[in-house]
Amino acid sequence: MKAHLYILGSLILLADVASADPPARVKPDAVTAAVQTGLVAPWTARQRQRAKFSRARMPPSEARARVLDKQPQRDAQGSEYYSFSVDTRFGKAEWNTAAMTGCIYPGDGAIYVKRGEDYRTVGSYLGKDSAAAPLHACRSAAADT
Amino acid sequence: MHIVTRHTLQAALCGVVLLMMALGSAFISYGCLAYVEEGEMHPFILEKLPLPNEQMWTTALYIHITAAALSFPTMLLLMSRALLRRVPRLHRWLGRLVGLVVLTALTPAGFYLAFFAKGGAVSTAGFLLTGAIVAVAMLRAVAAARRRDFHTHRRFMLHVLAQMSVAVTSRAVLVLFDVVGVDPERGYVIALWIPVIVSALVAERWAARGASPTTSRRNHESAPVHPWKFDPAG
Repeated sequence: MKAHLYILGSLILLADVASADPPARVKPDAVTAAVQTGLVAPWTARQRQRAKFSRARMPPSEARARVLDKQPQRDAQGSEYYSFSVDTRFGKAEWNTAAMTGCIYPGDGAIYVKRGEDYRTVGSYLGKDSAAAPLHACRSAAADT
Repeated sequence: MHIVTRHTLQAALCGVVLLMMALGSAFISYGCLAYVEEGEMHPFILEKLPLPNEQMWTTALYIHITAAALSFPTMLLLMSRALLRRVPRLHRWLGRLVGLVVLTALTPAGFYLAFFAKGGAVSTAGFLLTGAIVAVAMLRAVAAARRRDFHTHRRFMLHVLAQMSVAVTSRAVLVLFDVVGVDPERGYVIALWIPVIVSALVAERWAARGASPTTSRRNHESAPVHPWKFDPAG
């Protein structure tokens, strides 16, 4: 319930800023916070719940979101998104940068995470669904042309 | 009296070890249910990406974990002298089943997975070594049983069981390393190689002693000798 309130708050914040005039971009801190509450926090919690008696990597002791773009990019449908990276850390070791990468759409708060060469919805990383992201998601229109 | 006490303690120790292995096997099998629940989003699969042939790798993984979930508990059951004494036909048929699963599913799939192991070439070598010991020991154990050389059969089956137990002991070491904060990459390699080597040494020493892992020498001496049974004298 508490997590849902955080995500909702972040999305309201993002929606407010996204609906503003074009020059007033979403603050990177707000985007980072949205990724943190929408992906990193629930993903880390889920990792800590799973069985440890496994050859899979142990859950990270820390994880943080980093927004990679200073300005939003636009996909083929003209929607704005920011690329982000999730760094993880095990104990006191160095940060493992870009353990996950993806993008977030400030307009509707949608988060997509890269899996191999494709992107998946954030829900698939949180055990909620396994939907693939739309083909245009996280792909810059400028890079496609 | 002293000898009886020592052998009783040894038998109790063996029982505890086998019980721990059974519990470990159950924990691993329980953990594998997450592969069904999470499918291709399971962390163990995600951390391997990108793979040259993801479909082949996941197929090998599912074959390997299913074969292990079947063969390891059955191997533990086959160590039971009571089963051997009371239902020898069941021992033989379970043995054939395990031999088939190990040689046609567990080790071939494991060999393929070894080439994508965390920790690079050193890990790959460790997994190939443990798989090779299992396959060669199983073949030699089957050949020995067919020529009714039950001392050799027992020796090589102990090696198979010992290497299968690496699945449990290495995970236990990984959990311990996580608690004390060992670097995960280095810890993964150490947690593989130490159990592989120690298990091989323990199996060889155990076989050389000629003692059944589940019974005391007193029980051995009282057991009737049949051609299909382990030679109690070793």
